[in-house]
Amino acid sequence: MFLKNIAAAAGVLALCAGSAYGSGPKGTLHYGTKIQLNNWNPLVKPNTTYTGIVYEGLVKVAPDGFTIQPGLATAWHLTPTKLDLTLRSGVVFHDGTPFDAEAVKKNIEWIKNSGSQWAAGFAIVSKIVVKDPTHVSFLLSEQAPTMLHRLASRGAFMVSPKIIESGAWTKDGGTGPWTYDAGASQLGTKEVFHYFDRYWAPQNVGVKSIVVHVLQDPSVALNALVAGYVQAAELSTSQLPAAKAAGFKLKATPTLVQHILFLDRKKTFADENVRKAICLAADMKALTEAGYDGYATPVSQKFPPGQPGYNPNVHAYPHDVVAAKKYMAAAGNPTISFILPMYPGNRNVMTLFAQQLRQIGIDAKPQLMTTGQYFTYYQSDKYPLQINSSATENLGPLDYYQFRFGPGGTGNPFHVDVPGLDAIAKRALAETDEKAQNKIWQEATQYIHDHALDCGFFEQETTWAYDPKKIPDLPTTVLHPSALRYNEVKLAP
Amino acid sequence: MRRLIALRLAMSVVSLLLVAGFTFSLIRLSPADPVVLALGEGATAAQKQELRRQLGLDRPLAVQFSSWIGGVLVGDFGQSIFTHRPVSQSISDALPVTLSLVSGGIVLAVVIGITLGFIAGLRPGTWVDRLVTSGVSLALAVPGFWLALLLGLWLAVTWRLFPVAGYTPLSENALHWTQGLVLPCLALSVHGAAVIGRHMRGVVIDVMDSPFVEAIRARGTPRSLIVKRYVLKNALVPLLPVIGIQAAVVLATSPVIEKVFVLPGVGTLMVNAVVSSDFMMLQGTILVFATLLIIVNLLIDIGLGILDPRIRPQ
Repeated sequence: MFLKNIAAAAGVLALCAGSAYGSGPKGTLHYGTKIQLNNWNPLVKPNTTYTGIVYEGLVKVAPDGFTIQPGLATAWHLTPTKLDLTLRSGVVFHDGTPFDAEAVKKNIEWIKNSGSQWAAGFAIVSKIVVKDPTHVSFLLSEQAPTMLHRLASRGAFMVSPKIIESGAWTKDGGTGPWTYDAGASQLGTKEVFHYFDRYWAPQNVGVKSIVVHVLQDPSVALNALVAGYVQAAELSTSQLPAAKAAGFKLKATPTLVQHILFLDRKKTFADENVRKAICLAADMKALTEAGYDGYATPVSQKFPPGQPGYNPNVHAYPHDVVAAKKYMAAAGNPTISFILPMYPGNRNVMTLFAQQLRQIGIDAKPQLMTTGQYFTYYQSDKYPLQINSSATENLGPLDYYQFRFGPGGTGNPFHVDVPGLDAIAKRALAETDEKAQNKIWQEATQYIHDHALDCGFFEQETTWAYDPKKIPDLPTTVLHPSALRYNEVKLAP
Repeated sequence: MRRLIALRLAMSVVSLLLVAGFTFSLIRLSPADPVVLALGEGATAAQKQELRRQLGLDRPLAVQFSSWIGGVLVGDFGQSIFTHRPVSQSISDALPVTLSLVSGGIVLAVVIGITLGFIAGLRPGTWVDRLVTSGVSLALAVPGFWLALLLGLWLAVTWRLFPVAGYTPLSENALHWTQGLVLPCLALSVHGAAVIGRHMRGVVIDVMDSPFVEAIRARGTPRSLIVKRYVLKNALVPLLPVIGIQAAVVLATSPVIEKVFVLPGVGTLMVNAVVSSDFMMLQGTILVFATLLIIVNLLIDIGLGILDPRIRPQ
């Protein structure tokens, strides 16, 4: 049940990893992305495109997206009531502040009180005890099996206490291998990073400088790659065939598990039959083809095989319009009409989804918004249904439950109680045996499926193209948005 | 002449105030909430309220507007809610890029347009005229962003003559600055050059057919002298308002070209502010664009007043 890891193995792993990089950082990586930098507050970033360059967490995830690896903490011990951490010594923030247990305390308290989507994950940290500069303990008010995954998320990067206190988010204040060069950058179009001379593990760093070019137009991104302006770029799926034809290597990594969100289960979708009808009417294969050119895969449930909560007996709702109509009839063929918000990024998916719903008599009216408008409201009590996801709910079954179905969950904007699921979650939290607890989370997955609380799951992939003559490999992390592993990128000699 | 300048200046100030008020009101009507976007998904009502208070968004609109205008008058456009930088600082960083691009685009449009229009107008009905007219029609039909992408593909990707994207400041490297601006300026100028060329051709034909040119020609004055001394000068007067309008069009379309060529100009700032609902940045950038447009129109009005005394206020 508990994730227990000891420092020795971690240290050996780190050393082994380090040996692969040879004689330290070399060369400049020119990387193209659609994402823009606005400031350095890691708690309000939608991904790690920039924060992953300058910040580090206490722990990190392996490329499989799940296995925990050492970061600024070299060892940990998690029990139902406490998390003990041993911190790496000799680490400094970019502003020269030493990284120690007091800095960890300051960070966790800041995250906890931030009001960001990451705050809920640390609400159960009732007290932080600093034993000495390299040892710190979190006292937990309830057990949190995914606490290490929360610490490995982009919402728990360690920031210099001075930056937190000043709120000066125009400067980066991490401990990462590179620092931001504001003078050489052109905020919003070109961001420049240079190696941090006081970084604690130079042997683990591949490149000396990183220049991130913001290439939002798909054709421009492809042109930039072909012209050699960038060596690697996050590309739209529509540009991948051309990139491949031009001799570039493609990489596709699942980064998000999206699904149909029945946000208003209080009124519009209170009837389970209606929800099941929608699950059956949704043609996920067509939606993923239309929306992502096939770079998305329908899956049966929220978590993949091998992770807590995965239930092999749960299968995705098939696309069956006849059965969907029967469920609508069982619900009394109610008149359902609502606004379906969308933004340019999910326009194709939402338009097609609305057409599919029309087949069973549901009138979903797609409404195009700007990205800003969409992300203001998509998960609010203004709109009853959506297809989307949130990084917070991907950490594990407990986080998924708390975020999406818990009474105060951010992903539960209509505040709908699910007593049956609450009872299962309560049992899981009372269970201390890892295997038995996983069995209970499997029950939760079954319950969510059977009552159609969520359905239409699909793994959306982020796609890159890179020049294999200049970069031998482009390392990424599964199920983490914009998951390029900058540390591990090496340039060809 | 002084009266004309004073009148136009007063009108410009009124126009700017109207633009500022209109922009401010429209942005406030937007359904997006920058506070929600800035704080993220889980912010409590109290935290949202606190940020609104800090940003002054909880005050009556009239108070917000007067406070903003008061700041603008002393060069304080407020602070971006997302970058946490003063808007004036972001604009002053971006303005040289936009001015380089727009002035380059206008100069190219004027030079290309006048040259082609003049050549075609002096030889109406010939193959040269038909070639120029066809080219003008084609240029008018081609969308600027598409042309920009094509130019990028041919001249930057295939022939590697120019950089495909990005901007190098003039102070850093003059050659790279020039190289980086060639394609964007060319893409930006094509539509304006076509319009100016078409007008120039028509005006030159009209002037060449006018009675005073007939009279000069009848006196035996050589054609080259007529063209140099009379036609060009007389053709430029009616062309000036067209150039003014095209300068405004170049300015207005520059954000698209900035985005395509990844130039960190005011247009890019403005588009990004629209997408992210960064109210302060959006207000500031729109005001800058409006100011530039008004300056262009003011210069055109003054220029016309100098060239044609009849339009000066009596």
